Amino acid sequence: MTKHIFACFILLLTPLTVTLATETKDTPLLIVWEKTLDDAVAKAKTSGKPILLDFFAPT
Amino acid sequence: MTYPDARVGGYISKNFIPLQINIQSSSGLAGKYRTFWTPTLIILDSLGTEYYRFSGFLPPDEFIPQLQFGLGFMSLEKQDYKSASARLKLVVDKYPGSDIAPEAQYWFGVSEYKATHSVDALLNAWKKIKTDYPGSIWAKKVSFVKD
Repeated sequence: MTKHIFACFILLLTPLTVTLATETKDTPLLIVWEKTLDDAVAKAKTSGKPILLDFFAPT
Repeated sequence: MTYPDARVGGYISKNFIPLQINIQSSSGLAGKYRTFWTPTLIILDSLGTEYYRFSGFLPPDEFIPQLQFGLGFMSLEKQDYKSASARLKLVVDKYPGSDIAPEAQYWFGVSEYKATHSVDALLNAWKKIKTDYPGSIWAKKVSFVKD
């Protein structure tokens, strides 16, 4: 009985592990962009990080 | 593309507060930062003061070293020489083949000199440009230094 439960647990866990590993390797980390300078300055002051300002033109 | 690259996303998220502004509807911000072309990337401190910028697309292998250099240059301008030296040295050590590496080595020498007032530290850093990056404009800038 214990063996059966353990086997089920492994079967359930394996796809989850593979999914997590795949996401870590292949999925890009999303950049959470601020939309206003005021918001960015507020977060920069709190975090101590500098701001990376990206001027873009929509394509 | 640069931003979808996981290394770029990770680097930006770790080191910056990212702010993206549409230049066509920036309501004065493009004017404030004298920007007329995209992409233009500007590193600001937490007060919104500009310290470094570059324009034009770069692939990840050049983009990340540029940002790392910008952080180092900001530290240098802020006269935080310990941080500047560490950040600029990281550019050279981690991205030695990047186009910004010889410039990073140049300013690393300046940072070391500012921190220690050691002329030897400056000249040793600059001599490394002549040996490691002889074809760069930065080698020409230090070409007066005797071997």
